[in-house]
Amino acid sequence: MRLWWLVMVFNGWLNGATEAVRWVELDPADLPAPWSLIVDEQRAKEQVQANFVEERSSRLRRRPALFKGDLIFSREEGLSLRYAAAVSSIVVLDAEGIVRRSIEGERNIPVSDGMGGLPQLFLELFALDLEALQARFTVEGQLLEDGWSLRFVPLAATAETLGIRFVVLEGSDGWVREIGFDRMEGMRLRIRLSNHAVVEALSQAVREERFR
Amino acid sequence: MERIRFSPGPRARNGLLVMLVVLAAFRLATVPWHEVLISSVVELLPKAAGGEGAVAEAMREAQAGLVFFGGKEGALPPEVAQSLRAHLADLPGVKNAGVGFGPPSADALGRVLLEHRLALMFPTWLAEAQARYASLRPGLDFPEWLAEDAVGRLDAFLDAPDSLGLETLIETDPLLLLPSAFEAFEMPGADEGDAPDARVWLQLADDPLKTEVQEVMLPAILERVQAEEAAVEGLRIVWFGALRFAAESRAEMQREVSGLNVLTLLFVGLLATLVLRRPWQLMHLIVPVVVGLLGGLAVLTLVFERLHLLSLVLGSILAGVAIDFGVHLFFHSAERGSDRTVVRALLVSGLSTIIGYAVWASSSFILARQAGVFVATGLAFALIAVLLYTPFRKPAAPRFETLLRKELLPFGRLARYGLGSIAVVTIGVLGLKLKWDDRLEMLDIPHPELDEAVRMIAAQGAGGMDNRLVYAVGSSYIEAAEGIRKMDSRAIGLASFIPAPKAIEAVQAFAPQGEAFLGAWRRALEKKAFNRALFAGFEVPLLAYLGGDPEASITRAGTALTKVFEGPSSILIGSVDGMHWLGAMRSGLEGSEEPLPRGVFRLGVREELEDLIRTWRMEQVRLSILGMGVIGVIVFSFFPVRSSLLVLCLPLGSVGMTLSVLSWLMDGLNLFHLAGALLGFCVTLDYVVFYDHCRRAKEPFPASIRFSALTTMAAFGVLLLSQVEGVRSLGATVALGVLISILGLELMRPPPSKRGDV
Repeated sequence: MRLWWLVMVFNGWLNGATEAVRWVELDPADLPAPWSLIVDEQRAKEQVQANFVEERSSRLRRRPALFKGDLIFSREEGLSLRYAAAVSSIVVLDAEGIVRRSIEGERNIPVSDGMGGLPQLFLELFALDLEALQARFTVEGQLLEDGWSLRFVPLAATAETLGIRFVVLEGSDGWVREIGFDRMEGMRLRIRLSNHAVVEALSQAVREERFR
Repeated sequence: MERIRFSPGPRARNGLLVMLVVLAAFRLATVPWHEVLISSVVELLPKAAGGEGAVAEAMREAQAGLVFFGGKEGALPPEVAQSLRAHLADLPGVKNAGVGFGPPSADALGRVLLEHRLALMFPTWLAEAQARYASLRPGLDFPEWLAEDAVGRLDAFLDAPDSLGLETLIETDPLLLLPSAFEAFEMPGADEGDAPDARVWLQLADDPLKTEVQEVMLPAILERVQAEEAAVEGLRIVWFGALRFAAESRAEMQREVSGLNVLTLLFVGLLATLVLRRPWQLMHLIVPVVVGLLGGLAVLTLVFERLHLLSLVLGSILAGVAIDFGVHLFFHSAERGSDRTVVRALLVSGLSTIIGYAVWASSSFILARQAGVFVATGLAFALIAVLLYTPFRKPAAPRFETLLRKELLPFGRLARYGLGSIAVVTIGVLGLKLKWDDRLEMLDIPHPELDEAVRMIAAQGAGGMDNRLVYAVGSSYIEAAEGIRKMDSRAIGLASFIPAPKAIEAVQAFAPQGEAFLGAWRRALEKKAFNRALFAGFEVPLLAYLGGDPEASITRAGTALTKVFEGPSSILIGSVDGMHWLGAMRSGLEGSEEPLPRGVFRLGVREELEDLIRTWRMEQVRLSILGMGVIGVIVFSFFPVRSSLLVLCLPLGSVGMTLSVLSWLMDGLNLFHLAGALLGFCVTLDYVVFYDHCRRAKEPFPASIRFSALTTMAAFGVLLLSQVEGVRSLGATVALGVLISILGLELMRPPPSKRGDV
């Protein structure tokens, strides 16, 4: 019994010590050199397109749901996710809220308490707007051998509103590779990005199809 | 048998008169005028009791108690709006205060809808599922099929990206009643603007049309507004409400009534000085006017609980006629001595006028009813005063200067017939163009500053200011919602949450299958790999709902909804005396003449009032014709046929010509023109009766008629300075009518060569 207790304490100390070493709290107003370069590089891209795989785990279901598609992020227009599987629809997140287009037609989705500030959070994460995120989260960073990782731990009020434990943004080679949401009560969302490309300008047709 | 005659002496006459005045004055001194006098046009709407009328009344009262606030230079900053709301809500006498005129937020509404989702949405959900089942014919029992269909929809919903964040809701509402209802719902009058609605409202606890409420609340609100303005540099707040409109209308009308009265006195005094030899004796004429006004007002306060200021303005008719009673008797006595036939003429003229106005008392228009009682009883008092007041029988009365004895129209017979024919043709030609004006503005006092505040505040948001909402009333919310659906299927607003009767029937039929459905539901969840245990909390409320009364649960849900629809949006749902109402927007109603379905009506006070004005006007035409008919009968029963025709011909011609000319000059004739026309008829009748009396007695043309016409024209001409269009209309009609009458009388006189008088 004592041995088990010792193991538990040791493990806890070890994990805590490891955490303390790996995650560094960042001040968006005064970023150290590697982070300022990473953030500046991301912010320089006005429009980006990529493929995505979204894995949604919910305690309601015993198996996670998987979705695939491609996205366009534009600092001006917002985020457009075109789902090809397992559903077929376009979801636009912008300053005005969310629009879903599907074969049934287009509809505005009211931003309710349940959805909280999630659309806005998505836009801030894709824009890597650390100043805005800092108002609701503690920003922590971790430099890895082959990339970087940012963790956003919500302040108490945000945690309650959004029901989020933390959000992790991972990147490498100048691109964001994965966005992960760990929500309360075992609900998780992972969006893995691939085939990134910078889009120089959005054509009118693309604007009309993919944005509001 | 000796005939007993009532012939009191001068002392007894004066004593009786004093007694009348004392009684009337005593009554008036005990009247709580602050509570009795009203000035708002809204109060002209007939009070209806019970049923739909009670609902209309409740909605109107709720809206009348609102006061609205906005920024003078654009919308209020949100923090100022919140601060102002908090400070106003603290005021004693304020029931509630809020920010934003639109319906409640999606979250506030969503909370109520979630709590009452089964009552409100399950019936429709079930009825739609039954329809799908009937068309698909799936070969399964309905509960089995329904469970699989519902779980399949839940699965698809969770696959949709926008389900993100709704997991907790879905545990409570796995049938997705709420998301489906929100998808179909369009909030009536919702603010579609980008900026949040920062307009502030407060709801008063008491009737804002009461003077004592205005006297307490107006300074208190103003103080809070000024404190808010002082706290933020450059901030200017505009505000309005029935409270302010009523108070300013009352003040303006009181100013106007006193101003116009002073002007009338000045004009009449000036005229008297010009045309009378002993003008100070004219003071005696005030006696019947004062007795008439006191008596009429005393009776009016006994008959009606609340008096509209405009009906008192219409009471100026009373002064206009009452003074003529004195003029004829006074000057006739002065010039020819006491004469019983003059008293007879006076009685005929006076009684016919009284009866003519008494007909108004049967009107459904409160203004006409009050004016009718006021004028008829006041004239009765004035007539008694004229007969009792001894100086009117003394020859020491004032005499006319020669100015009033001169020939006015020194034309020959041919010219007179020519002018008469022109008059008849004018009536005929212009009369064909007779049109009516039933706009509300004729009753209202303009308030440019407040109107500007209304415009500014309305421009600062989209919701809550539209008075073109349509309502359905029913004995339940279900019936009210049916009424809305029958009106328009495009925008049914809040009614979309209330199930149709057929959906309620579907629930009642389904209730015994509840357990079977839940069993199938659990199996379907298992099949689709859902964590079934998480949905267990949904089963108990569903069984409880299916075991209860679905209609009663809708009433409870409706009551809960009324609690979140506050302030300006409270008009969208409510109940009173067992009647329930729902509001919805309806397009294409403007200018529509089609009758609304039963149980559906417009709240717009303007439209309702204009409809009423139109009805009242038509009624007023009938009543005026009836009144003139009664007068005609009286005239025929007192005078020979030839005299009766003469006596009635000129007043009728004068009224016809006046209305024809005014209809041609103005945009149309209104209620007040009609009121003035009857007065013109009575005044002219009075002149003709006295003229006829003198003609038959071979006496000279009575100068008192010219004097009376001059004073009447002066008194009613002054009304042209009024700010109220209706009062101006009354003044114009009477002044023009009297002018036409006096010219007509002059034309009716034989040429100087054929008569002995001057």
